[in-house]
Amino acid sequence: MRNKGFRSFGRALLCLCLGLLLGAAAMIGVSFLALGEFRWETVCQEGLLPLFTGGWRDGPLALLGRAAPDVLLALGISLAWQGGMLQLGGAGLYALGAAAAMLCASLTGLPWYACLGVSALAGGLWGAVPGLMKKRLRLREALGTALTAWMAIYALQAFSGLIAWEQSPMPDLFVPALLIAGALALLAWLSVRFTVPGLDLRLLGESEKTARYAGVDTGKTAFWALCLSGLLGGAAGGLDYLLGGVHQLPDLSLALTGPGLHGLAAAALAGGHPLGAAIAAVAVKYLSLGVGAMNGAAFSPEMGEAILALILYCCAALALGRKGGRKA
Amino acid sequence: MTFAASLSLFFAALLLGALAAAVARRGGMKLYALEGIMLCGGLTGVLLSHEPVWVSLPAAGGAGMAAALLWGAPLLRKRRNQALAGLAFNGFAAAGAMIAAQLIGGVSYTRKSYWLEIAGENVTVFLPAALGALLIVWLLVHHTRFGLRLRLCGQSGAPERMGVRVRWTRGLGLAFSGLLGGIGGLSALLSLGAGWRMAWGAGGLGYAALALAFAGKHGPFRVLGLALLLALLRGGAEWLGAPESVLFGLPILAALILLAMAGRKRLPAEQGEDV
Repeated sequence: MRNKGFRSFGRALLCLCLGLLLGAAAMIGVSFLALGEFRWETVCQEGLLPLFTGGWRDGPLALLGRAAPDVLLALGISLAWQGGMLQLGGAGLYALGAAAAMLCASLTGLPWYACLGVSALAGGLWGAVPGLMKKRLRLREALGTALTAWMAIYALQAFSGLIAWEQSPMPDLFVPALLIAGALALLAWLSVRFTVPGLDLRLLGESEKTARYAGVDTGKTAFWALCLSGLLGGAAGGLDYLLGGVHQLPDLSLALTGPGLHGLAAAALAGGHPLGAAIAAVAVKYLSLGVGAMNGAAFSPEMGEAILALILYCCAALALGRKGGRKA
Repeated sequence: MTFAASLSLFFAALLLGALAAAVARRGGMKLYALEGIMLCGGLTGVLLSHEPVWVSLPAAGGAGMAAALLWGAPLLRKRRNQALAGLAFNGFAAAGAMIAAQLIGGVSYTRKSYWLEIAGENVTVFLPAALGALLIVWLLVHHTRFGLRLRLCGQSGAPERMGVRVRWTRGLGLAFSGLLGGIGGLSALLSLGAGWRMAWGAGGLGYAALALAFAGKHGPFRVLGLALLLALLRGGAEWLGAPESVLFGLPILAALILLAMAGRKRLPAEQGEDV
């Protein structure tokens, strides 16, 4: 397979299979510890079967609609990835976006698309913080974005006493969410592939020196990439709240596992390709919905997080999507 | 927990974590998995907190070492994405810790065995441990042949041509980092208070320690100064009666500012994938 796209796809598939295999081994170990004996049918019926079929439980439309926030988050991380930057602050952006959408919906009663805009704005502004620091002070964006994510979640916790969480009052939004996610994925791919800022971004991702010699304002390009990444991450949180997927003020549980990890796993599987990230985000959501269907004595939803983390680790260890690791 | 106890636990956790990151970085490994390593070491130590300190402390260090090697062994070659693998490991450690807590039916711990009486004052055992680790790191990294080899592995050029076994040396450095990180993790988890949950990891202290190591340019005494600064900042906030989320969020904000102020110049040349 000489084609680069096929090679990337093959590697992604390899990572996915390797992660799932390691996850299955972990499941066997956990079931043995929980039940005191090895029962193959328990692993199959309470673990593997729900994992692979649970995503279809409510039909394909519900799956795609629920995956829309993950698609947005993965797109945001992919945009930064294209510029050679790792956006590790997806959890913080998601949490801020969800809180902003909730406040907008409950305090102002604005329509859903306005609340989505507010959440995107909140994420964009938060994403601008590491962007500005990178532009002006050459901050390491991987560590900077991770630290800003923790700060966002701690800030939300500090105000938790003042915020009374209300469930989304919006009607069924699966179809609009699906359309928004699809359109944004296409737009992101077209922008990265066929526009001058997209070319600048890809050039920056290939090599900062080359980009500078080619006349690209690398600081400005990195700043806008992180802003856009934040915008999409915030919109992901807002959309998930509007779809009824966020039931309480996001807390520290999100910092290490949850949407941030899922988005990064999807972006890593796709090697930062926007359309690939959208497809991978649906696959990751399918797995995480399957994990939610596990309700046996041996397995809990945390097992799914562990499996997704293993998939992401395989991507990193097999050097998938090297662009994200190059000098930026 | 008294004000002095909470502050000394926090300071020791930060210093041990930052030293762990600094040692690993000297060998060319960026310890993005520090949060997960601290969680693994901390959880092991917390589970054994009812045992004497000479059991729980080495156990925490050993668990940290095992976690660091588990994370780092496949990444010792070039062109692996250490940041991405670090984030994945942190997520895996958090999920694994939650599963472990469910399997053993909850975690209970005590801080009683971690106090020493020195000159009539109660001092946490982590404070002398952290200061001792600082001296050991200084001696090991800057004044031994192993340290020279380790630093060569973290520099550009070709340490192989000088007869250095790069992966072996880097692995040993990583194991030592894990030991420090594991003990630091136990100190961190003990400082987090009763409301702490497994999913929260080390409350972001791992990332703050990593930022301190970068901001201190991986020098043990510069790292000590920065850790003291953050501990004083937190102590001031605690003295003013700030809520818990501010107490834990403030050092992360300060670490971010220090990291941004330190810039990226004069760092050792990169090995592995830079981000």
